[in-house]
Amino acid sequence: MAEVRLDRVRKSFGSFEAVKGVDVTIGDSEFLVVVGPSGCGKSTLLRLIAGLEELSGGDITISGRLVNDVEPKDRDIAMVFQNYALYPHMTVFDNMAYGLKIRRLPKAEIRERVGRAAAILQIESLLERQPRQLSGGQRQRVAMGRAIVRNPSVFLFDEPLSNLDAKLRVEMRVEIRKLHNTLKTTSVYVTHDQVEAMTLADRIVIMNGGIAEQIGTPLDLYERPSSAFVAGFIGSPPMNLVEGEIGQGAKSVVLAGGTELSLNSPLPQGWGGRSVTVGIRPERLRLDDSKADLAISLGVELIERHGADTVIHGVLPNRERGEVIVRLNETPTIAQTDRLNVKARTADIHLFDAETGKRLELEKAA
Amino acid sequence: MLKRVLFRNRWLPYALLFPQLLITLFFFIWPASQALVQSFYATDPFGLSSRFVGFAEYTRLLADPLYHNAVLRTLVFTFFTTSLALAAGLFLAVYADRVIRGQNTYRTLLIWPYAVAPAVAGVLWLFLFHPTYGALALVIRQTGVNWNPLLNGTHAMTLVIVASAWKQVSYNFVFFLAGLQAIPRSLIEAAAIDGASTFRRFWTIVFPLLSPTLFFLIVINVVYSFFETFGVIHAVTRGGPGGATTILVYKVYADGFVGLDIGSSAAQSVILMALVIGLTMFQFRYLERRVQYN
Ligand SMILES: Nc1ncnc2c1ncn2[C@@H]1O[C@H](COP(=O)(O)OP(=O)(O)O)[C@@H](O)[C@H]1O
Ligand SMILES: [Mg+2]
Repeated sequence: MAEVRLDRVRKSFGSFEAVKGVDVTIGDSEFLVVVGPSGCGKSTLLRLIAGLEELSGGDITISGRLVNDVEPKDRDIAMVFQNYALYPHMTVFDNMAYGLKIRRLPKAEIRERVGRAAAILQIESLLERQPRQLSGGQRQRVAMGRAIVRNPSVFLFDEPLSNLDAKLRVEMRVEIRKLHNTLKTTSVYVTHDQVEAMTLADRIVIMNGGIAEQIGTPLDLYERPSSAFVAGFIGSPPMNLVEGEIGQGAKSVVLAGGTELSLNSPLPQGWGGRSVTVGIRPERLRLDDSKADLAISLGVELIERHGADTVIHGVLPNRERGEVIVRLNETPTIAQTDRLNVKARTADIHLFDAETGKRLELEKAA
Repeated sequence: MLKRVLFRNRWLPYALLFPQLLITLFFFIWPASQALVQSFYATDPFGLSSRFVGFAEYTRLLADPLYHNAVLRTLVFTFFTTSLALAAGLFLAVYADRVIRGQNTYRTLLIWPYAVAPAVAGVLWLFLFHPTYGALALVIRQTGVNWNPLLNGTHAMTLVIVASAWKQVSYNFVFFLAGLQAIPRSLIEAAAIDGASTFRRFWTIVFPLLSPTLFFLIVINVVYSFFETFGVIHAVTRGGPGGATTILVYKVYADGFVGLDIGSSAAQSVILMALVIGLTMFQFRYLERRVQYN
């Protein structure tokens, strides 16, 4: 078992900086997910840990050993690639045994280890097949098998499920997490899919343009996103982000379109008139028929009835781009074109600086 | 996958094929059938009279120790030329594949020899290794070897092998490089993480995945060594000294146009033709087998 420490890790390709100083410690037997949009440097970060790319700066430590200049094979890691990277000219058995043969394990032990891994992944009947005779899901399992037979101290996954269809993806996601609960091997898992991140992770690193925007548990990121970027990335449907301004007297925020939301606790006096981005999660908006002044009045554009919940796409008055999504657990009787009043609790209102996108703390201000 | 096209006019495909068929007819079918016919006749050196002798030319040929020597010589020549050209091509491709900056420059430079005409290549090599004025011959002589490809048969054979291989390296290089670049990088990386050294990765992953390319190139290089090295040999040694570099294709020329034994020459060319047809069919039959990566 192992702890992986990244200390101001940087990577440049020529003049382009793909990873711009990431600090994170992955605890022993922790499952860490790195999530972010395409091109944000997730794979590069993972490949730095694997030793497939050379560091441009900073340090990487695995189990207390500085590995900056250590070859991939000596880092005691295993990696599952997005395209599986199975050796096409070898059988499933030989694919899984390749690393063990190189390590000169006795034949009997190789057979035993491959057999055990195959049993865990339910691919025992496939051992004599060639990769091209397997379905996508089976190849994925073999790729996992090849990683676990080696019994490494760290698993690295680079979008292992993104080549599977939606149904299989959900199944494998559950299996990967179960596998981790059994093996408890320290894992770093890269994905662009926030649902995967939220369901698999002990902790999430959310990356944006080579920077770790926020590191925390899935609930941390959900409840207290440190920036508008994180707020918009986590959650499905994503958090509503509306331009606004802090009201004079700093006791309310005024949304684009004129709706004013009062805050329980006043903000610092100096903040009056400041431009902000206001964030409210769709599932934290409630219907409000009281016609109270503080409600948000929406024009209804589209209603999606999912059965378990209802998603309403609405717009703020006098604003074309001020779209607000409401997600309700009930199935209300609303006709399209209707106007709708919704409201949120003060605790569910997130404020972000309009320029930097950084979170403004309401509690701290109080 | 083969692309199928449907033509509205049923004569159009034939019309389109016609020029190619005409060329094949005049430059292959006609001379080939002439050779075939000739091989059954004994013709006097002046071409004035000929009479039908059936398979006599063939039986004479197959019993001729000089022909046996030429067959053996051809096998030796082909083995070394092919091995050398393949090994050098693979070696250069592996290193060019690793180079990141200036890859195009290396590639262009390495492809150049292919554009050099065989006779020019032959003269070039003779120039470098000529016992009296060759710059590299001088270097060899300084190591104590009495280098003289004009008198020593082994030296002459070595020289034509190297010159012939040199011309073919470019071709092999291009195909090996394409083969290497078709191998997904993640396979090599997976093997590296699995603990394989560079050497082991090459022999257990890269080389097996290159085997279809290798197989294709072996056939091409054998055909090349057998038939297309005439120009190089003619320019460097003219089959000498003492027939030491007279491989089968050169013997066809030497017996027919120098020795004026038209019947024997025709029989020899028919045998060679059968060989090249056999090799080509062999290649088409097995070339279909390709490695799949995904
Ligand atoms: N070998 C490389 N050479 C140059 N640029 C690269 C290389 N690898 C990645 N990049 C660039 O670094 C950025 C991050 O890439 P990557 O880590 O693969 O992103 P992702 O988050 O999608 O996995 C991208 O802009 C990509 O173009
Ligand atoms: Mg990636």
